[in-house]
Amino acid sequence: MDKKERGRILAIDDEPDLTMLCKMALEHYGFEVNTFNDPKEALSNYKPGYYDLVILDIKMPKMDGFELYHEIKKKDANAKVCFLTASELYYEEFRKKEYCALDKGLFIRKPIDNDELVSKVQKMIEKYS
Amino acid sequence: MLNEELKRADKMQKEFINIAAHELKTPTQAILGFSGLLKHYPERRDEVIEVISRNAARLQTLITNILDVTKIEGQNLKLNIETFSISDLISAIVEDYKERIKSKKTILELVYNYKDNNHPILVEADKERIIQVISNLLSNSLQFTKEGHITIDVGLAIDDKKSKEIIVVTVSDTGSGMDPEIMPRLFTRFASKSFQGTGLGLYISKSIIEAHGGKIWSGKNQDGKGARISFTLPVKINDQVRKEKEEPRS
Repeated sequence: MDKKERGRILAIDDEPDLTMLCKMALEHYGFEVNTFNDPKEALSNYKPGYYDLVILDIKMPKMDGFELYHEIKKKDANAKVCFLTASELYYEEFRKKEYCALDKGLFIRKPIDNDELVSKVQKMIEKYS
Repeated sequence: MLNEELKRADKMQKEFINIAAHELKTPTQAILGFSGLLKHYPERRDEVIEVISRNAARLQTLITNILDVTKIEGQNLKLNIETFSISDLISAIVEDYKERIKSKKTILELVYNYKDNNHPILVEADKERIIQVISNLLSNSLQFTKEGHITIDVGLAIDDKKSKEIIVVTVSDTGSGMDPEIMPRLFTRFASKSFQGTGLGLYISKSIIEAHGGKIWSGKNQDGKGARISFTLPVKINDQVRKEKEEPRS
């Protein structure tokens, strides 16, 4: 299957094991996946209009997921961005503050199994396109 | 007042549970996800199994550390005190780590500096807990030092306040050093920024050393590079040594 058929994904997480997992899981189902472990590096290499979905971790050193979200939006206002997070605390805290406008559906909770991840990613690409 | 303290303790406990849950989810996610991938990537089986076992080990360390923190916070850290030679103990741990380094094939040298091997330094302490502290410091150095050397210096000094003899153990390395952001909270819970660390090791080490009446701190190496952590423990002067000190041989 042509990888572009299902979509191009950018996954950013400071844990190399988790970006590798995301890449292997999604590529197996036909997505094209690029990954970064350093949010700043991800931002400087960001290609506006190229990705169908950007998946961000929230708790990262140097720049957290919400800050990165805003920076990506500045570069690419139409970018579709979702959050993969393990922390209930971050999820609730950030939503209560300035990010309450973000759709709850954009948050994917870790741990998640591969099939569920693939199905959520697919739905997000369809719903938010 | 008491109510305020209770509220504060409750808030801290909730925060700890939240952060602990977050930290547990990361290796859990890796184990869950990579196990599911095994069938899809038979050609990368060994690589995937290695990731799974690394994350299972991380999960195990994390759980042990969380239980230790619970004991420390509940003031239930019980010490099994015995008298032993800490200089011999460090020597044995260093030998063990030398083997580990050899198997990793890194360009790394582990140096143990204690000149007076004929005079073992005795301490009254919980041997297993002291092993835990030294292993933690060495593992940290090993994790962040790809080449160069890790050095353990052992020496004796006098504690200014108590006028007692103390052992000073310093683990230094030529590694990537510590993130300046981490430094102010180095010995607090979940201070790590490393994807391999649990961020609890130095907090536990500090609690263990202080429970023995010692101190632990981080310092700078002369060239400003790498990391350097020292700790002290009170020394037990055995009767023979005391006798020699009191009645110097003519």
